[in-house]
Amino acid sequence: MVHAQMSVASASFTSIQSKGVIMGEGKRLQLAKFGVMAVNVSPLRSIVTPVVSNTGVVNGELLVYPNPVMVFSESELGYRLSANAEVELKIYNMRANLVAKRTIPRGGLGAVAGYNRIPLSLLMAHNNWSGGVYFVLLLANGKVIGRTKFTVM
Amino acid sequence: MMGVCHAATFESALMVGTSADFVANASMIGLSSSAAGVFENPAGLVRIKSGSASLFSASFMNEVTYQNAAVGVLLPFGFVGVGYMEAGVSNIPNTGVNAGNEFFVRDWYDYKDALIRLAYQTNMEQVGSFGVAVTHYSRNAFKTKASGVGVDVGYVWQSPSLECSVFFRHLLSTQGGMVTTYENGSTRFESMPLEPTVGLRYFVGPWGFVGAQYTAIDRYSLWSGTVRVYPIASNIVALNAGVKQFLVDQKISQGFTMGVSLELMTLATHYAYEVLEDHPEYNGKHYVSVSFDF
Repeated sequence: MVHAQMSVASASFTSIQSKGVIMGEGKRLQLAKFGVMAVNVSPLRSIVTPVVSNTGVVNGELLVYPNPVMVFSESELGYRLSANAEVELKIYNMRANLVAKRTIPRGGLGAVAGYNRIPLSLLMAHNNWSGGVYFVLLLANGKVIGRTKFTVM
Repeated sequence: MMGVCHAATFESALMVGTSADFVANASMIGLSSSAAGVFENPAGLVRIKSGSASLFSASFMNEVTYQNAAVGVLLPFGFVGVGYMEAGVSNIPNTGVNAGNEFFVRDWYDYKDALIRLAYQTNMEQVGSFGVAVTHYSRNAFKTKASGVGVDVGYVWQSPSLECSVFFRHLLSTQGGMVTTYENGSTRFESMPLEPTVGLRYFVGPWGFVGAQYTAIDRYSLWSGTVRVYPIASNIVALNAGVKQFLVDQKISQGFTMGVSLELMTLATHYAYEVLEDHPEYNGKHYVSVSFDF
């Protein structure tokens, strides 16, 4: 007797609530697709301000440079804040596991008005990142104010 | 700054799981009774009577998509299965630095992890089931490629009330493990350490089973346990709860899973929930799977 089986599986995340304030006016909304994309109007929006690069690309986003990260090079996280503010950075792997978390006090490196650049090495306890895509959330007062993703190859 | 990486450990897309049943069972290897078992302990394929096919799809955070497909058939010389799995992320910003020393987006690229796996299983009378699987891993992103090959072996021994699973992931692997080759010709290595896993499952009559699993990865010891209950003493309805340890960035994390299964004749549906902690926007992962025999 021929006996065969077929199975279909799927999985998804449950969104608790969209708390995000999407930073910048990036034309590629996919950057903001990390969670639910609804934008709340709140004072936090004024913390992160968009800028226009000399290439004409509107990119107020949180960004990692270089991206992809080739590991041998120096990599940094960059974003613009319009005011000093305590911020928190969280990095998740492709399975949504938290791999790094750091709270930066107001006025500290990465929490001052203007453009902030933080070495990724400050966020991780080591340099031995496994290959894959990582997702970064920038939070203030527990709310997401920016997000990006980068690849380690 | 990030420096030269000497000791990164390769993380396979398989770590996400292969089915809701797998997740509900606290990611215990070798309990699958469908072709999804191709991705686990190949000796567990002994549970498939003749042929099986499985499909899996998952989407996390509206960003990461996972898919796999597996098929297997019992041949005169043993059970042969093949599986393909991939994980992808789209629209990743490739960045540069402008004159103001600020980062900007040059363009966008996609990322893909993929693996293809060939599994073979055979029985030895009164000894148990043996299996071997060969996996080719690949990774592609922004003109950079990585690849590696691992060979796994497994053993399953069954009795009416007890089952034992022994599995060695990456018993053999390519030199250097997962090897990334950059455009400039330089390379990076991610180790594929041997991962021995031992699992036990004890069947409590018609009421279900309890299981426990131990896995060693590098210097880490990971435990998981699961309980399945058939409240009406048949396979029609099953409730699962499990706890597991897993590695996240060289640290041991804990996870909790639960699930429910409903099997009506040849149709079975599985649901699993996995707690996700410390995420501001998501509180858990939901898995649903459907299987049928014909």
